[in-house]
Amino acid sequence: MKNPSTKVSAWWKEYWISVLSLFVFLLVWELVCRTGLMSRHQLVPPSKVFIVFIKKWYTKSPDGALLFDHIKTSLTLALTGFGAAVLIGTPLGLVMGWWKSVNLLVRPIFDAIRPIPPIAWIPIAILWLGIDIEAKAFIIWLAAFVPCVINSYTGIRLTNPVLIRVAQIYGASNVETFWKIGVPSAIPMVFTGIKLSLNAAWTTLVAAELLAASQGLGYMIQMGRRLARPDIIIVGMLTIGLTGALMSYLLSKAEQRFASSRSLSD
Amino acid sequence: MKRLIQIFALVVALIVVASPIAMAKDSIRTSGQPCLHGLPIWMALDEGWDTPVDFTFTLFPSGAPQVEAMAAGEWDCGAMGTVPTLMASLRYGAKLIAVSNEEGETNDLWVRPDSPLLKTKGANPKYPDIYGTKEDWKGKKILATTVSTGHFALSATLKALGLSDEDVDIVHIEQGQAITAFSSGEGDIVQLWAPFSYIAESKGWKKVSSGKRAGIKIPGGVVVRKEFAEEHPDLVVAWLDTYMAGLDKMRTEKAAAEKELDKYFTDYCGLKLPADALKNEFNLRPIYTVDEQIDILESPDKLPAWMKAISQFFVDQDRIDKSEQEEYLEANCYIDSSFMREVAKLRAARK
Repeated sequence: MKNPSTKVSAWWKEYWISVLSLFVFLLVWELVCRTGLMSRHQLVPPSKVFIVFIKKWYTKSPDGALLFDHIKTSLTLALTGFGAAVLIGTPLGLVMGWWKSVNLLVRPIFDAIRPIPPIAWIPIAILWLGIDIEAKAFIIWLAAFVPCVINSYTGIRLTNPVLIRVAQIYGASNVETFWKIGVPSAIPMVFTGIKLSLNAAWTTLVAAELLAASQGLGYMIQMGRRLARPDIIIVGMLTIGLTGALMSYLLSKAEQRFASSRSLSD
Repeated sequence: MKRLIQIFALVVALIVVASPIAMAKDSIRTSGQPCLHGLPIWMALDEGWDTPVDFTFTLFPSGAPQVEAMAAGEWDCGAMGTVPTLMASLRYGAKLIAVSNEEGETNDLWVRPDSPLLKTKGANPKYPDIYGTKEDWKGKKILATTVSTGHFALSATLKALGLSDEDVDIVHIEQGQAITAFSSGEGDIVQLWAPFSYIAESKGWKKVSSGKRAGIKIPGGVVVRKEFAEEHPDLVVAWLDTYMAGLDKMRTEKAAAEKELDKYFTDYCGLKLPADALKNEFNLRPIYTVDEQIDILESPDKLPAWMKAISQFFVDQDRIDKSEQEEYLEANCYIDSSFMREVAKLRAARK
């Protein structure tokens, strides 16, 4: 068993350049602001952003809620839309990829809806679902649904035909082949789709919170804009980025657990 | 032949001399919104007025992007709502040099025709034109665009009824979406401002209050970017004179101005308002003369007081710090009447 210092050393050996790049990025950003290359109207230094970030954990000013509350609201919203997208999109993609008739039935509608920006659905979402979480989750669902379908479809379509023929030779039905050969084969692409969906859900958060909202990171950004507070805007943006990165990390861990034996080649 | 050469040379010389003069006409970048206060700028351009300075006009959908563009130095003079004016001054030092119109009556609150609020009017005798009682309003779900003059009007209304924001359920929503949501049955009350208010009216909704009815003033701001004002005060005066000429026409030639407003909304802003709405734009929004402007800008109980009240609202809402407000008030709300005074002198000399 490796001792902790060895682990730290190994980690540092691998990731020092990443840490360095972040440090340089922050340093350049700070210097750009402090030297006046960009005015304080155009960019806020990271030191101030950090101060505001800390303050937002214990003060509601100026946007009306603590950062924790914003994160909680946004997570609830994003994960609701994302979860629904995965639950519906993944099976749909698999079925479309396996059964031609289903693909022919669904594909025209899917292809028509797919290019429409989620934000364009806002008025329709309000009319159909009102202004509460259902409507906002619907906007996110639309964004997250597409990559789930596409990647699941592609994954199962890439199933090794040799395996399919072997299953058929041994008398497996089409349904049995779907579950035992097709679905396992598609797992790597399914997880890729899920990760893309998560990103899409998170990036659509601001658009979704353009609907009625009193809390949420997207709402926080909007309020920062109305109040001409770029520091609040950047804190919101960075929090979205960090939270999204954390969720991607957790999803990658899940992928390692469930799809490790079927990983795509690096 | 020699004479022809001399004549040709003279013509060329005149052209060369004249070109810099013609090309040297100053230019100002202006901005506005799909709102009445953009009309003076539009009219001058659309009707081809002979103005001492040339100017361009950029339309912004709302105050936030307009302020952002100003911060980036993308425009020099413009007209905007009260809150963007306050933010532009507080954050970027923009000077408030005129009042485009007073918008108290057009920041309003609407209900559906079957609302119980309509059963009572003037529950507080001091505010006879507000509908509903304290109990009627308590707990109601109100769709409102927060951090806005509309929210200011809402809070003033609640205060007039003996309530506060905490006594109702305020849901932040942008104006266009508020119309859609309220149309689909969401909310009990909706806060709007013109021209969205006219959509509400066309749908048969009923106005239950406004900023004016709740006793507050909501001045539309005419502002100039700080750096531009410092570097080109003469251009600001020239442009402001043109803007005031537009306001003069809007006051004195309403029929013609209504036609121009219709054209502005339709051709430039992508809005189509009914004739009644166009009339209301002029009937509900006071517009002031140069002398009235000077009085408003300089009287402590007028524009400075109006802006102080709005800044206090934001302090109470915890949107700006007390220290920020103090800075704002110490700067006299960034109100600068000197440009309007110069316009007055200009006009006096012109007579």
